[in-house]
Formats: sequence, C-alpha cells, structure tokens
Amino acid sequence: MTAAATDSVNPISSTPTKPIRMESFIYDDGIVRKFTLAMYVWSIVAFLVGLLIATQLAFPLLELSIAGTQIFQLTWNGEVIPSNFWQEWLTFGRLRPLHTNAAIFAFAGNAIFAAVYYSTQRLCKARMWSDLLSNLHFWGWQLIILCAALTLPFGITQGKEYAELEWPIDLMIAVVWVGFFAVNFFMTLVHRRERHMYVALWFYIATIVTVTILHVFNNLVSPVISGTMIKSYPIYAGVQDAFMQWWYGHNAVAFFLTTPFLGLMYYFLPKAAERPVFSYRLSIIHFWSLVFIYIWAGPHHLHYTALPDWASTLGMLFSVMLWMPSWGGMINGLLTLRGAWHKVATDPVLKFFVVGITFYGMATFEGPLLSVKSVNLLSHYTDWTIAHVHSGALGWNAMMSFGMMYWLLPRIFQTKLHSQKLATAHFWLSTVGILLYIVPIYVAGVMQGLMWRAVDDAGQLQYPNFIETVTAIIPMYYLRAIGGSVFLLGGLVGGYNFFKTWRSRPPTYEQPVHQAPPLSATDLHEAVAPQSKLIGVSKVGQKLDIFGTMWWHRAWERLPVRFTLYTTIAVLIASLFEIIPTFLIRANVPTIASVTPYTPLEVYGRDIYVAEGCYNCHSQMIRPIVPETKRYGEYSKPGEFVYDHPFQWGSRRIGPDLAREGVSRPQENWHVLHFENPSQITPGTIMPPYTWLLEKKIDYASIPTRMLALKRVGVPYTEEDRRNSIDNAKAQAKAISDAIIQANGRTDLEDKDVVALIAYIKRLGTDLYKPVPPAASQPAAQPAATVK
Amino acid sequence: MSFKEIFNFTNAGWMSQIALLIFLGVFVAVSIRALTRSKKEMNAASHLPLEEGSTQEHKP
Repeated sequence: MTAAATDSVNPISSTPTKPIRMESFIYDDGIVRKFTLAMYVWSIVAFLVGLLIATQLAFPLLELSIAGTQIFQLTWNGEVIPSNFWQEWLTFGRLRPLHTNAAIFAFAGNAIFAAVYYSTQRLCKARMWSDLLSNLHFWGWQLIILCAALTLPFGITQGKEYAELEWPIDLMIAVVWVGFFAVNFFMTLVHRRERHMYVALWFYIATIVTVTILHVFNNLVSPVISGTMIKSYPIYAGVQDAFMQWWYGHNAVAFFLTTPFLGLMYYFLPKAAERPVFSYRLSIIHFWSLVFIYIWAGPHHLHYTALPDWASTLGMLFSVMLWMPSWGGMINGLLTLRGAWHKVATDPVLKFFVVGITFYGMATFEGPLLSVKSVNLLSHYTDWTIAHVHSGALGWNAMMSFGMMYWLLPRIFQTKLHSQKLATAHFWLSTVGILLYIVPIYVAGVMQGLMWRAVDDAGQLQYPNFIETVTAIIPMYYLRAIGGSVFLLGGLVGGYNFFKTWRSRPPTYEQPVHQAPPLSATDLHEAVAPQSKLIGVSKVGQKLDIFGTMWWHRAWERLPVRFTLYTTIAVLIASLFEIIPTFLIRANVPTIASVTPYTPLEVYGRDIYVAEGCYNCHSQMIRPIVPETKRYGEYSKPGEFVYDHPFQWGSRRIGPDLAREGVSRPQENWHVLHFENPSQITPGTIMPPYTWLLEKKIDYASIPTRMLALKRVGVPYTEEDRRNSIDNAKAQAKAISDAIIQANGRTDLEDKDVVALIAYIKRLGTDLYKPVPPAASQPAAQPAATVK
Repeated sequence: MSFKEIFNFTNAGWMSQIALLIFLGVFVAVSIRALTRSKKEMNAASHLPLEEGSTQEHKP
C-alpha cells in the first residue's frame, strides 16, 4: 500500500553507535495534478452558472430600457423572450442550487483535496497510503459532481440549501468521503514518518470528522421507493428540520469552507513566504477555539423564526465569540509575512494570499455582526447575506485557491509558470471583480431591509407593494453582473496561464526519492508523565501539578486516532447541547389542533414547489415584527410546520414571503395567469414564466408511494388514506379546475401540475384559521415533534 | 422516567450556561497548553512546512 521503497542505513546518523534505518519514498503528485485541474475546470463552471443566474435577475426579460429609451428587445412570436427561454431547467430556482453546489463542492472541494494531498504527504513525510483510494476518491468525487449537474436542473432535489442532492448521491458522497478519502488520509497519518502532526493536519482532521457527522445527520431521509423517480423526505419536520438544516448549513461553511482553507493557509502561506507561521502557539488556540465555538453558531440563521428563543440567543452569543479565534487566525496569517512584505509587490501567489486572508478577516467580522439579533432583523432575507457569502466565497476561498494554484503549478508540472504578468492580471481582475460584485449587493441588501420595514407617520407600510422593493435594486443587479463578468474574465486568464504552463511540462515527470527514518526509529518513547516539582504537598497536589503541565495533550497530538476522537467529542458536545433540547422539549413545538397533514394533491403540489426550488426566492416564515405582520399577516407558529418534510422557510426574499399565501391570495386563476406569464400580472417582476406547469400532467399513480414515504417519517396517513389518495387528489383537482373555469380561465388544466401546485399554495398559512377537526377524525398517531 | 420525559418538562436555560462554562474551561486549558510549551518545540513544529520532506539526517 505505501510507497516505501528501499531501506538503507543513514550514513550521517547523529548516533553512530546505533545506525538509523532510513526509508525511501516518492510523493504522489499525480493526484495533486488531477485535483488542481478539476478545481480549475469546476471553478469556471461555478462562475459561469453564477453569472447566468445573476444576469437572469438583472434581465428577467431580454430587453433593456434606459431613461425610457429602449436599447434592445428580443422577441419570439410577439412575446419578449424571458431569461429562462421558457425552459424549466434554466430557471433561477433550479440553477441557483447548481451554482452553490458547483462553487462549494466542486470548486472549493477539489481545491481542498489538492491542498490536502499535496501538504499531507509532505507534512507526514509519507506517500498517501493507497494510490487506489486516492484515485477512487478523485473519480468518485467528479462522478458526484456530474450527478449533481445532471439532477439539480431537472428538479431532483431535497429542497434544503447546500444539501439539495438526493439520497443516492448522498450515499455516494458518504462512500467517497469516508470510505476513500478519510480512510486514505488517516492511514497516511498512521504511517507517517514525522512524529508531530503540524497544525494544518489538525484542521484537515476536524474537516473530515465534522463533515461526516453533518452530512450523515442532515441527510437522514425516507426515500420514495419507485422505479420512475428519485425522491425522498427528511425524517425531521418543520422546526427540527430547520434546526438540523442550519446546524448543517452553517457548519458546512465552517468545516468545508473555513477549516480546510485554514489548513491550506497554515501550510502554503509559510511555503510561499519562505518563513514559518508567525505564532505556532496562536495557531493551537486558533484551532481549538474555532472548532469548539463554530459548531454552536448555526441557530443564528433562524433568528425571530419559530425556533425557540434560547437556541437562537445561544447561537448569537457563540457567533460573537467566534470573532476572536477567527481574527486570531487572520492576524497569524498576515503576520507570517513579517519581513516578507516586499515580496508581495512582485509575487502573485502572495498577492492572492494577502487579499484572501484579508477577506477572511472581513467576512469573519461581518458574520458575528450579522448574527446579532437587531442587525439580523434588518439583514435577514435580504441581499446583504448574499454579499457576505460572496465576500467569503470569492474573497477568501477563491483567492486562497488561486494563490495555491499558482504556487503549485510550477511544482506539480515541474516547469516555470508561463507568465507572472498574467497571474498578476488574474489577481487584479479577481480583486476588482469581487469589489464590483459585493459593494452594490451590500447596498441592495440594506435598501431592501430598510424598504421592507419602512412605515409612514400613520404607522402604515411605506412600500406596501413588494415589487417596489424589487425594482429599486435592479441597477445594483446590473453592477453585480458586471462584477461577476470581470471575476470570470480573471478566471479565464488564469486558465490560459494554467494551459500554457501545462504545455511546457517535461516529457516525463521526475520523481524525486525522499528519505526519512520510520517513526519508531525517531521517537521510541511515548510521552510519559513528568515528575512534579512540588515538594511538601499532598499526592493529589502533585498529581494536579503534573496534570497542569498538559503533557497528556502532547501525547494526543502524536496519536491521530485519539486526537480525532477528542476533536469529534468537541464537535458532538456542542451539537448535542443544542439538538437534544430542540428535539425533546415539548414546549418548543406547541401542537395546534387545527393543523392536519397535507391532502394527497397538496403533497404532490408541495413536491413540485420543492422541485422548482421556490425556496430560493420565497420564504415561508413571517417573523413576529410589525412590518412583517402588516405585509404578510399573522406571524408563523412552530406548530404550523409539524408535517413539513422538508421545511421550506427559505433564507431569501427575492420575491415576497408565502407563509400566508393561501389566506391572502386564494384566487386559483390568478395563480394560473401568474405562472403562465408573471410579467403580465405583476409588471416589473423578475419571476420567470413557468409555462410547463400548465402542460405537464399530474402523475397520480405516484401519490400513494409518496404518502407511504411520508408515513414512514411520522405523518399519520392511514392505509385508507393511501388507498383513496388518487380519487381524493382527482376530486380536489377537479374542484380547483372548476374554480379556474368559473373565473374565465383555461378549461384544460384539471390533470395538470399547476393545479396541484395551486392546491398546495392555497393551503399555505390557512390551518390557523380552520375549525378544529372533531375528535373522531384526529390522526391516530402524532409526529415525533408533537408528542402529547 | 425516561430521558425523553425528563427533557419534556425541563427548562433549557441552564444548558446555555453550562455550554458557556464548558467553552471557558476548554479555552483556558488550551491557552495554558499553548503558552507553556517550550520555544524549541514550537519552533520545530512551525518549521515543518518548510521542510520538503527529504530528511537526510536523523533528528533526535
């Protein structure tokens, strides 16, 4: 398995009487080349899709007018062409998950793996344990990304942000991450030839362990067993699902986009600066504080929602505390350049790293700021969050990745970088692109927040029509599209430089043979407890003195398995402290007697809502604050969501909240016309047309299997409910179709998807106002969340 | 009485306080640990990335 080759005796051993056996080994840079190439290719895909959806928001219709003068307009059959070209797989709702998944798991993921495979081998003085596992990891991960690209645009999604991929792909991720990557990584640690595990390896360990935990627990689902569709429902519902999702979502940022990149920083920055990290002591405090605090912070994504107040307050408190270790890391990174700042002026690698670390500092200052409840009240659901996310993803992750890429290219291709000037041009285009992107979106976010909450002297909403708050920020969307284009241009320049460097590689790569003694030869003795220096005190005092020297932590650091175990405990303690009470305390989710499971047609319609990715633009969560209750109606209650598998609260309001849509807009035909051509019903809207909903037929036969899957996660459907589900769905569809016809609407929609979606939308928020069903019709069982 | 039943009737406020105390304990312990390590040991560790791994001589 290992690449260890010839054994030899070290001729320059410091202990001549006891020769040290040396082992020879060759690093596997082939796997680093593969991941670096994949990182670059997927980065362009992620940027392109991002630019496409940013342009769709700026130009929902392919026309442009400036000051009343039409600059251009593209039409087809007399209609202005919408930015999705009437194609279902080109809508913002379906493509946004593709963009986020490509950016996080494809671009950042491959960057992480390139960094891990390069640095782990050097820090361990060992080749990766198994070339086979390295390659299975690489190809398995690319297959996962391909599956994501082939499912998300077609509406195959779990409907949870950053966890959209359906259960078969989730299983693949688990196998590739744990079975190939983690096993290979940990076995390399076990077979390492350097006793001390450098701090970068700690960050990698935390990443591998925590992502495994997050992925498994957030993706526990009940699959719909069917030969014709890939579909599942999470085992959690409503408040619990929201909690689990943001425990996952926030920590995906923490342990996929932060800790591995910090490992990257702690390894590649000293390499590029040619000097050691400023303070290794600070890096230890940075690591443990970050790992311990980050995991608590998730609930700040759910302020003023139906989540219990204590949980969101705890999330806020830990988020504010997170600022300290984050800035500790940033300062440690920047001060590593002490005495080397002159190199920054000429070295594009250091340029990328300096800006990347600076953005890390900015983003980790802004994150705690946004977690403060009063700030969050303004920022939540607005584009401010989007600006924050992109300052992190583009400013921190992309800049660090490209910095690493430029450092790696000459080394892994064993040639000179084609052009330092082009690398510098890439740097400036990226920096300017980021700024052009985030500044207008910060402005847009603050504008949205202020306009949504603005009330006049009479206490009425100043902008009661939501569309006013949309059209006001469109100019910012133009600027964002320009910023995104500039950033993409930088990426393309980088690609050209990459290609030309690759072209100048030697015909065959040299494979330098390295030598190091095996671990047993360099450190025969395990750490043993020191003697206490205290005299004249009790044995207990001496023991405490010995314990206080923390000698045992040194032992942990040398033992990867035990070190991993303690990292896992740190993560689990925090998780369980929040998860257990959220799931078990009855008062958290008071039962509302009038809330009943969805009807068969509503279940089908809800699945369409999820598949179309409506949550990417619409929230379903009215916060208990006056401007929201005035705009949308009664605030949302935890008990309203007990049958929501998955929850669909959303995190953004590109369009208005829909939590009480069934109360405020029950007119069936309005929805038909709106789906067919939103611009005609709401001039200025940026929602694309959903014409296929009026064409595609409802798959009635699939409804019983969907209900069975829901029953498995606690929705109290009886066998009779399932048996009658198709007839009931058809009856409800007919009633909706009749209402549409009565309103002079289309007469051919009775068996079309739009009717099912309208059934679901008409149900939204209405349960509170329904009479309590008689005891006889009460469900036989209660979902876990509402145990009586 | 089951674990679930106990939690059903408990108040979660104390858990927040315990959480903060646990963090404080961990933070203090890690700080002591980091600050009490020898300079030689820290220097050796911080130089690890600068070694390309081609160890030609034995380090005791």
